[in-house]
Amino acid sequence: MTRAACALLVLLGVAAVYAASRLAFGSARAPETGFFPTLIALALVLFSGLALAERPENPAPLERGGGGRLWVVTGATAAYGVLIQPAGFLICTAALLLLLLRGIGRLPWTASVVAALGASIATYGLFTRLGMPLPAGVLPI
Amino acid sequence: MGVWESLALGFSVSLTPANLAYCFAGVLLGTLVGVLPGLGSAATIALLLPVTYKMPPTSALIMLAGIWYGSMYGGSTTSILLRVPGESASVMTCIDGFEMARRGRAGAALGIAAFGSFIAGTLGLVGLMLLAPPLAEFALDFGPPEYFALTALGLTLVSFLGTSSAPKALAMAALGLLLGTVGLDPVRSEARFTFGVLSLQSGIDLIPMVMGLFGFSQVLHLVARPLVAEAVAQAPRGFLALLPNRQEWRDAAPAIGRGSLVGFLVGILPGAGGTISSFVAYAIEKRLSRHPERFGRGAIEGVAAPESANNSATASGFIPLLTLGLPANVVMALMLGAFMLHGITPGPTLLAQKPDMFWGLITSMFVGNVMLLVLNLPLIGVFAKVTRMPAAYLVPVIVLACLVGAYGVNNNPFDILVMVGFGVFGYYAERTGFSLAPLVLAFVLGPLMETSLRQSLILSQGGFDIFVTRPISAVLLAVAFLMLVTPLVRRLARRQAAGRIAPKTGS
Repeated sequence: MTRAACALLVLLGVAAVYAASRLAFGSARAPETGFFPTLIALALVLFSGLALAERPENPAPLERGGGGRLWVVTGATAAYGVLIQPAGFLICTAALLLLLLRGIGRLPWTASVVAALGASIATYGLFTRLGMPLPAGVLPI
Repeated sequence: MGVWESLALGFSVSLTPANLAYCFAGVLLGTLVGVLPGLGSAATIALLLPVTYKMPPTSALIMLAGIWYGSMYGGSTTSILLRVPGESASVMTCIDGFEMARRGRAGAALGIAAFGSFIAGTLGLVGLMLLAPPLAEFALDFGPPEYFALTALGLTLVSFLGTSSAPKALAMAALGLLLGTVGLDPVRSEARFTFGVLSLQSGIDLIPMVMGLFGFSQVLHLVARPLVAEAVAQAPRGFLALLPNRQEWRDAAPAIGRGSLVGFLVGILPGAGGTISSFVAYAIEKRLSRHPERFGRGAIEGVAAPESANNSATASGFIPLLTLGLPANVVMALMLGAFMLHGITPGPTLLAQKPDMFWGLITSMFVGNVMLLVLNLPLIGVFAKVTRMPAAYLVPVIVLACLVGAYGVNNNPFDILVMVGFGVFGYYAERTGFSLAPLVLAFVLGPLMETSLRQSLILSQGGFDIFVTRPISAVLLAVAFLMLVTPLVRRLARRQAAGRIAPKTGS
């Protein structure tokens, strides 16, 4: 896993060198837009290459089902980012909190529903009062 | 302005009812955050940055600073009672603190942690007060080459202190610098690495990034491997149970003094901060002790030294930020973000232009330290209960704070996706041994480093000698170079020595 991470960084560095090469480099006398990014991208390739050559440390194994829970939470939060504008803060937040409380935290249904709705409404009320415009979405509020 | 006038000005700012309330809110929140394993001070400050938009700048800074040093106090509670460090700077406190608790001296351990933190925090502030003004004056002469050298040294130090692998840390620093170049070029305003995404034109925002790296990544850690905090030591009951006895005071007093000094000196270094200072203070104390065998078995010096060091380091960590405009650690990078949100650039001119803010912030820390002592001693039992908050409740709280915080920066859902992306990245980076501190610091320092490099080269008409002919930048770069080269030379020497021994043993 550590080796894969280092290799990924090397690839990212190479891609950055390529992307930076399409910007104007200039010269030492008159450095242009691509001057600094090119040097930094090369440094990224060098250091992640050196890290790749090191003896890797093995990360601790995950608990059974841990990987699945991780991706469910990540996917749901990313979906929240996509849906918050059209569906609105209240609906998205309540749904996500319900998933976290009931689906991940295994709390009872009633407590999860009450907490999810209560926290969403309270947060909406607090932050809109503080002047942060949270999207209303489909709800007529 | 003399020291007393400066202090009077500072206290006139920090003792206003509003600022006292912000200070109290900061230290209380900081203590709670320090007590709760899974939510660090960096994440909390990141979460609260958007909330500070509408606050007066000095009040915002007072509250955010309170969260930081408050978390150092709170971190010791879980270390001593549960052997779970609430903050990384409290790791060393677990060793002897928990042993003391198991032997029925939890009260004395918590008490000495609180008293030591208070004394060290106060001494650190005196140092900050005395050192910051002359350093700010000295830094007024800095030009682009000095700033470039300073950022280069800062990044080198961050990469070598507190990380197990220098190449990994340097790779993260390079990645941080690269991420800092996304958006418009600071000199020519040309778009770089935006790939046609309009939201990237203004660059990656620090707040969603840090919330992802430190907040959402913790959520992923919690759901992937739920944290079971089990109370294994009894919290002390009553104030008197927190008072160390005479012998314990005698043993702890020199450790508090040395821990304060070590913490102050180490805290100034970029990347070192509370964690390294507590490790160094513990190691020094063990080496100086006449009975080193007591360490690890409940020596009170093993609690006093690291707790004093991490609090003293908190105060001295402000020196590079307030005098040079350079953050020494991730929390200071966020404080820099807080300054900038209010249109203020910290640095050598801050003291001259905003003395009320400068001294108000410093004196608020004196006030906050007193509040923490008063707050911590009677409420330790309550904080001990907070440590048992199950992950099932903690996860939704952190997620909600991350979402509102990330969205609130620009009211742009794209920032939520940025936060999630960096959360996943931070989770895997930590699991594979990559430190996040060099990435964040490089991201913050990147624009200054690039601008000063390009300005220096234009000034010298392309000559790199500008960095070595000016004494300050030459010294700073020499130190950075030595830091980079020394481990390589050492490794080569070790390999050669091993090569010489191997044939002999072989024959």
